[in-house]
Amino acid sequence: MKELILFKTTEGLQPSDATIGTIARAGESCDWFHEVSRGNSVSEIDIGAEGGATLNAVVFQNVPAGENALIRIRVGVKADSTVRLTVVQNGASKAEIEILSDSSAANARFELRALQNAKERQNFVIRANSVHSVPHTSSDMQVWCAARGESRSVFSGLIDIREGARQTEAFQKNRNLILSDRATVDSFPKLLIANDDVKCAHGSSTSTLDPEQTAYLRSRGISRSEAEEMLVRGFLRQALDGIRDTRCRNGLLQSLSILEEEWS
Amino acid sequence: MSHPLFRIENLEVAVEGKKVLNGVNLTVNRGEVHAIMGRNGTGKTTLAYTLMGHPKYEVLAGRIILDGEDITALSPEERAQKRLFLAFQYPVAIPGVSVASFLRASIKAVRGAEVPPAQVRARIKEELKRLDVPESFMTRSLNEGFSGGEKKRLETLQLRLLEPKMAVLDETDSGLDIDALRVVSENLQTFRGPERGMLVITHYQRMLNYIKPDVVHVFGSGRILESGGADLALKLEEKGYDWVEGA
Repeated sequence: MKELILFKTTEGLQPSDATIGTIARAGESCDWFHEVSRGNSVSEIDIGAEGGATLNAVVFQNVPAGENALIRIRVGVKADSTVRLTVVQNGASKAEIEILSDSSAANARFELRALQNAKERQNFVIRANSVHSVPHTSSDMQVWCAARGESRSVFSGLIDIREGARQTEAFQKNRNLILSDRATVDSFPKLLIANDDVKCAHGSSTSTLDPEQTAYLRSRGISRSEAEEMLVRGFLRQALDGIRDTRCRNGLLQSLSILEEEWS
Repeated sequence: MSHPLFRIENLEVAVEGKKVLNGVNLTVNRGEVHAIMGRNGTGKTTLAYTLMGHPKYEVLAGRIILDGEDITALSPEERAQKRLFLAFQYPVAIPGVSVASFLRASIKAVRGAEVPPAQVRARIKEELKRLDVPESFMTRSLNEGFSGGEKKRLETLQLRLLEPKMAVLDETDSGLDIDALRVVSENLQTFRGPERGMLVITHYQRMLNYIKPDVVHVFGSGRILESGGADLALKLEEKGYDWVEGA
């Protein structure tokens, strides 16, 4: 199967004004949020962590309907550091997010949580490559996609473990929920391993709503349509569980109309 | 009201084309607790799911009547709104949906909008205490990562909050340790009332020590083989099922 490429060239897209992003340094723990709201544009984002730091970054693609977006995110993870990146695809007609993570020093860790909330005639692509070039690094990429209407979504993930990168632990998982018989989802989880001494797994699941879950909610008086909406909202929320900054997380949930009323 | 609270008439049911229930007849009057006991694979859970209207179970013949109304053709949500409740043996996990939002949605659906949110919250807190469940439970995803005991406590909590007329408990005692069995059973027992009915499906006498049944039925081959008083459960515990099935 051929992978969908939305933007063979960047023709018609405005180049990024400047590269944006942030680097967490020397023991810091930073939260960073960026919303891409300008359509028909290319966004260049550089993020990273070094010196035992942790960066929790969120990139929210929320371009107006009818417009396009290409977002390139480069992630540099240095020794003893962690980058947790959450990416959400929500707006635009056509949007592609490319993520390239380089774990280039011992005990570097990269975590990706990504969500594609595809509806109507949207076309979404997430391409995520996690490169491990030295020993003792790890990564975990989990990508969720809910596909409604006539949308088309693609996840293409690659764990790329280089020859000297012994004792790498790298995982990727793609979960797709098909909510319309006219929606399409393609999943390409890939491994490229040039080393025997690694622990790796990759998987992909694609399904419709679970009838047992629907039946359970209906047995509590909840109508079928409301039960199905609850299940979809629950599916979407899981992708955002990794965001530790509660305000940021709640803001995103609100933007996606999936914020639950608080219990207190 | 002269009609019984709950009545199953000659119920025949198939699952995925295979006939499992072969003519079940049962009447539960107001205030009564009935127990159904039987070996594995005899159709007890099929009966429970069919009563609740699970779409996988096809009613071939017979009727289910709740408070004088034939509910056989109703959807699960309509049955719940008419105050029928099923405590599931294996409640499903629903990631991303918190217990709190699920309970609010189900209370609103079953009891209508007449219950103010503050009152709902207060009532839930009171029931959590009764069931010895921490409030942190409310922000967890529904049944996700729950122990067997936590799942059964949550089913019991729902039963108490939704206040059904008729409750079907499908092996609510399975997966419970001794303390959890006591807490769950006592809360079920105090739920008994003169206007309510309960159908308790179980393998063991131990739960019936707390919830004393008025009638005990022995289930086999998709139907009721024998009925009797509470002493029938003791006899089954002592002698097993062979004597009933061989009769």
